[in-house]
Amino acid sequence: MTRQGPALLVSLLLVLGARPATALKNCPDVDSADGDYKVALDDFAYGSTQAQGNSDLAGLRARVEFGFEGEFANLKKRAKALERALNVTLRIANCSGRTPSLSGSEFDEAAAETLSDKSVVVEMWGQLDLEGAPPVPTARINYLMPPVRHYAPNADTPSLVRIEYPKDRAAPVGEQIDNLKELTAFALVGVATKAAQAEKYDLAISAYREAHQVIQDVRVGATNDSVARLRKYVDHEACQTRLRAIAAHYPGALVLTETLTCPTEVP
Amino acid sequence: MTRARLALAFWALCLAAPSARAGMRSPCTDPIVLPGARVQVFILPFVAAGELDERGRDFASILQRQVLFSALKYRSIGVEELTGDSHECSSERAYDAIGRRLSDEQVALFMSVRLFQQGSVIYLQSTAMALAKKLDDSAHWQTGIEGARVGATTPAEPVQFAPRAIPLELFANLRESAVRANRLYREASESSEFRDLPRGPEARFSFSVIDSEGSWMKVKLLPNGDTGWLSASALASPEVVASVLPELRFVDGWVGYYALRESPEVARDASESLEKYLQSSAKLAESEARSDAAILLGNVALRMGAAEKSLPAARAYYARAHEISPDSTAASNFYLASTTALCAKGPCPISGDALHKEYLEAIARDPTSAELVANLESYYTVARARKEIRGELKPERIDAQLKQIHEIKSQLR
Repeated sequence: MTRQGPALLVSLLLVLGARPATALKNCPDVDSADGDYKVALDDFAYGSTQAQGNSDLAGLRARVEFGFEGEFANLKKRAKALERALNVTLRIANCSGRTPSLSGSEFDEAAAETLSDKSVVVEMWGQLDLEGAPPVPTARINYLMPPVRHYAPNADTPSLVRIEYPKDRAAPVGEQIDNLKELTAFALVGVATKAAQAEKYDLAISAYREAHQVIQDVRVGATNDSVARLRKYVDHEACQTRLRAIAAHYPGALVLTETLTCPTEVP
Repeated sequence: MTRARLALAFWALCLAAPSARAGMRSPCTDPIVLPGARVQVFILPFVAAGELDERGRDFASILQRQVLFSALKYRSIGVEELTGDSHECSSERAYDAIGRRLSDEQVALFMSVRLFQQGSVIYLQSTAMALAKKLDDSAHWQTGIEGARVGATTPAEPVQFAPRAIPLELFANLRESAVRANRLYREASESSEFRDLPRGPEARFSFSVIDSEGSWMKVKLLPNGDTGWLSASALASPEVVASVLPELRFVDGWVGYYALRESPEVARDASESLEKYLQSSAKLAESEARSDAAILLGNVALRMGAAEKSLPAARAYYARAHEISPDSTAASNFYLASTTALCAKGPCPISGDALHKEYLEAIARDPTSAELVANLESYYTVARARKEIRGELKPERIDAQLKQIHEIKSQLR
């Protein structure tokens, strides 16, 4: 991984507040028109004043940072492989001070289109809180895939996925949050969707394949309906993209597969 | 060059003997690369968050000892602990500095670890990477049909393991353990006289392992030639550490895989380590690493006997790799190539139609793989000659596909 990743982890600043939906704070790092695919990293919020001063949650924040750093290295590794084959570059966009609401209601279709046009493939933010009696540390991490929201606004296609920790209420949250494979999976789904629209079919199919592989690992030891539906979306879109490439006489090996059919089930 | 460095260079040449097993510590900025060691493992300084800097260094020292002790069963290996700050020892810099010093067909395996402590738990994540110069790490099979050879290349990407959460009590005595691990004892006993080995970022020395007893290694220190004993279990028994860090099994098997090119007798040891890794990682979210391990197992199996027996055994491992990670192009390639080779020469473990469909599905997942397309071309060539693996595929369809492949191949190179 480059030295950029750890340095930008500072951006995982935590601010107080489950705030109401407001206009999104601008993120200059997203606005730069460099053509790179971007992972937008917003600030996390605490759910309450009580949560803000809680040492368990401070520890949870540190573990999120540790998990994020490792997973971003994994994402960079996969992007590097795509870069070698298909000329792709991917980087973090540091959106310090930007705190979307937990519902993500700010990301309407227009906002998603704008982000997608700026090649943001996934935007990540979250909230840490204490819940229940006795209070248990919880984390909610949201992942928005702007290209999916923009190009596949089907209600059944999960363009905003929230991962709640503990995934398994019986297991301590600290044992689960260190593996943030979702980040890589969702970023690759964003890359694939964007590339498919740009008719970069080899890149789209390669990114769908990588996403599918990571989603397999995301599902180890946990079930999440949104992730399951996203996997169906990936399967469906990978196949449809292949058919579109063949129909468009896209050069390359896909033409050899024209006898393969796609599953009829639509996610 | 100083006298000490000249002496070290001389001893480094001595360690080039085919049976040498060596341990080393050197700065990242000027690493020791033994000219003759077939495989050399480099352990980068562990990157530790928060207060773990010293612990990270201690842990790296201990792991160096354990990786070396575990690898004693192989010949011609070196295990080196690199020292320096995070800038000097970035993976990219280390790959570059060491890659330039490798001789042809020599293999460098790198292990890097991130550590983070919280409360009673240490969180740890490792990455392993292989670097080789002019080493053909592919497998090829003749099908018996002219012009129809199949093959696959072992993945060269870094292997990232899932984060581990390890109870702190295992490392409670880490500092003391590292101090003990750094001692050269007169006898194989902690109650015997000892002296400390050089430490710190500029420390630079090598030792050759000349004997072992229990979890102790008798070593000859270089360049001065002193002998003594080093403990390989200063922290905990190698078995205990490997049980919480399955990647140590992976690395050990990987060392064995490369060592067996020179010493075929170590194939069983390499196989055993990789199998143990697969068993202990069965419930871990690291399908890519697990798939790679199964591919290495298949490659080891290929070298364990006559082709007619080794190919079915290897194919079974490649099928396992494909099952673990159906999206891995490397796993698909090994599985399809070995299946094609088997089908071309004898009873086919799957039907011709199923094999053909699996080829097309693999290309649908990765249309950029020149190797997959070349193997499909060989499959069609064999299918044209052998009805039993052709299935329902019509000869005219085969010809049409082959014509397409000829046009595609130039685009894929």
